[in-house]
Amino acid sequence: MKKKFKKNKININQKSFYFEDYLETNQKKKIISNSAVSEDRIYVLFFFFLCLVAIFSIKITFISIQNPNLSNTKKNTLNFLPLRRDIVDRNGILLSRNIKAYHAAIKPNLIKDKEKFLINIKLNFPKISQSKLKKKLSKNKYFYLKKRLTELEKNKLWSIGEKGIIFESYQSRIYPHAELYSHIIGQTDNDNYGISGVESYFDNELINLKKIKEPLKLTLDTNLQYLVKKNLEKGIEDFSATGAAGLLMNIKNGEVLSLVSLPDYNINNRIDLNSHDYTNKITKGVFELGSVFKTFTTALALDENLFYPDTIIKNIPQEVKCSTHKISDLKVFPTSLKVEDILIRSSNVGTLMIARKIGEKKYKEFLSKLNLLKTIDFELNEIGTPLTFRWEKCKLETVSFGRGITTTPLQAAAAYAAISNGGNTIKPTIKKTENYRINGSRVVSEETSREMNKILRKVVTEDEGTAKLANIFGYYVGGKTGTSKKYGEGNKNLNTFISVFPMPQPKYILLVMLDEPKAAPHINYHYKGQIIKNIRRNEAGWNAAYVAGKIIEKIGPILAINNNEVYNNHVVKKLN
Amino acid sequence: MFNKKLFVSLAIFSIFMVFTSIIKTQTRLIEKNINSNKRSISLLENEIYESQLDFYYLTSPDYLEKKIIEYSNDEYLSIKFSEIYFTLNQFLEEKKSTVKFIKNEKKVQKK
Repeated sequence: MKKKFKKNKININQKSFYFEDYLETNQKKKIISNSAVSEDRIYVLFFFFLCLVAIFSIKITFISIQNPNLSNTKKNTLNFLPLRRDIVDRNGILLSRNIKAYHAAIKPNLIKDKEKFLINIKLNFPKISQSKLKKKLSKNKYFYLKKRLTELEKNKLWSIGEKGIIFESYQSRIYPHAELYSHIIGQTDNDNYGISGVESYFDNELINLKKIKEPLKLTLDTNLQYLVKKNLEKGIEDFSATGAAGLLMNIKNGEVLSLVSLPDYNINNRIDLNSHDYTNKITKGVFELGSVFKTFTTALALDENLFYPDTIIKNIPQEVKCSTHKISDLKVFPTSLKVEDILIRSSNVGTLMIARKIGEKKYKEFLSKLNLLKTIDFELNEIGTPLTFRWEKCKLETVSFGRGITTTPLQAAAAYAAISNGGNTIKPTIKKTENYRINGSRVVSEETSREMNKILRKVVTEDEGTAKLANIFGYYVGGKTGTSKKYGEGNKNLNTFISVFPMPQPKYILLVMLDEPKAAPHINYHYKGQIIKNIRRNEAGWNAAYVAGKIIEKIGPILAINNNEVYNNHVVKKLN
Repeated sequence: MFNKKLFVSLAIFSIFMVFTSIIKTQTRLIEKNINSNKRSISLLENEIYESQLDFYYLTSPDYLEKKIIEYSNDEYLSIKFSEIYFTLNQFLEEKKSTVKFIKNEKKVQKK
């Protein structure tokens, strides 16, 4: 029992132990409940910082993905954003570019000492009227002192150090080659819109801001353009001509490599040009080109199988009466001539007889197919339209040798290209593209084209040919001369030579035209190792063909270097 | 045990906190560098833009010819490409072939 009691005692003790234990549990519970409150606070805090981390992470990700603001050129004041695209030539040489320039304006209320300001302006800009300036200053209104400042003028004004002088920036179009491309590139107005030439025709493309860093590439070649221009200028000087024009074109795809019309002008300057002399003679000028049309007559006759090149036409009269006109030749030719000889010697009467055989209807259709009767499609706004005429009595006869029909030199050159390139029409172009769509219509057969090329070559190589002076060694030049009288201007000539080279598979066409050339007895012509002096002739063979020869001599190496086909076949080869 | 958990949590949090702030600072620095480099590029681009114009003006055929006349006493004549020979043999060969070509042309014409 005692033991039981003891045991019970122990149990009592145990009860107290339980109590103590209960007390401890309470304390523990208290501690736990207290710590739960602080843990919640930490979780909240943790959540708060986690949010911050998340925000930073999002920001970092956002920054890394986003392009920096500076890449946006519009917002960046340091980056100059041109309003028009550059224009470059086929080799990437810059022809036209927008730059930042300044106008000088005056805020009169900011000028403290007006007398001193007037003296400074008088010293630096003596051409500015003092009285007018004084009046404007007295009105206290914002006005322009000088527009389109040069760098020197800007520096002079800057050095005056006057707060009232405001430099207003604007964009100006600069042409580094000045006169060289005046008739092609054209100009822009003060608001940077094209008003003439390429600047006007391609205006929408040039102001396209999406392509602003991509230049507009032309088919022209600066070096060729310069050489053509230089030699034409020499031609004007040698033959006392009033003007000249030259066109160099790829015969296959119509790429214009050079287009020169003289006189020209500096397109960086704004001047009024009222004289017709400044017309673009190649695209806008509409002329009676004379005997160059004989090629078309002969080509059609051969293509229609009416004649062969060696068909002899007998009994060619010295003179033919046609309606009221009397048609004759410059020289006395034999009464029997081969068809090719008629072209080689440039016989008006012989050509007229060929044309009569062809007939008016076919001839008219042929000229139409060659695009000689309507306005040509070309990438300039300055395009001439051939004068319309009625096919009256004797019209066929006169048109057959190039009288009584007008066209632009560009059209004539394109027609020659069609006859010499295998018989397909081409579309002349000045915009460089990677793939040209040559989908011209056939005007003559390949066989006719080959025959015509042979005859055109003979015009240059034969002693009786009219273009002997254009026979440049190594380039196998062929072509036809055209001497015409300017309508209503007495004895004034318009001499043309259209050459194609290198024969027998020509690649290029060069048209040279001299406006009102005179005989040049002072020139020593070199022909077949001989020097011909004191020549008083004024036909195209003695001036236009001579100038064309000089041009081919200079541009030939460039064309040959840039063209493996010409280089390999027609130029003396270099040793490896 | 509780303290350990809390300690670990706070430690991780602090590390992330420091790490985040470092990244943020670095990002800002990089951003500043990008901006400054972009400014330099813009200035250089502007310089190139204007220099190119000068270059094309100064190297235009017309300008070069004027300068040659102005500063040089030598008279430069352009040589025909077909007259450039690199050796005497090449010259003789070409002359022979030209003579042959002319003869052939004459024969063809006679026929």
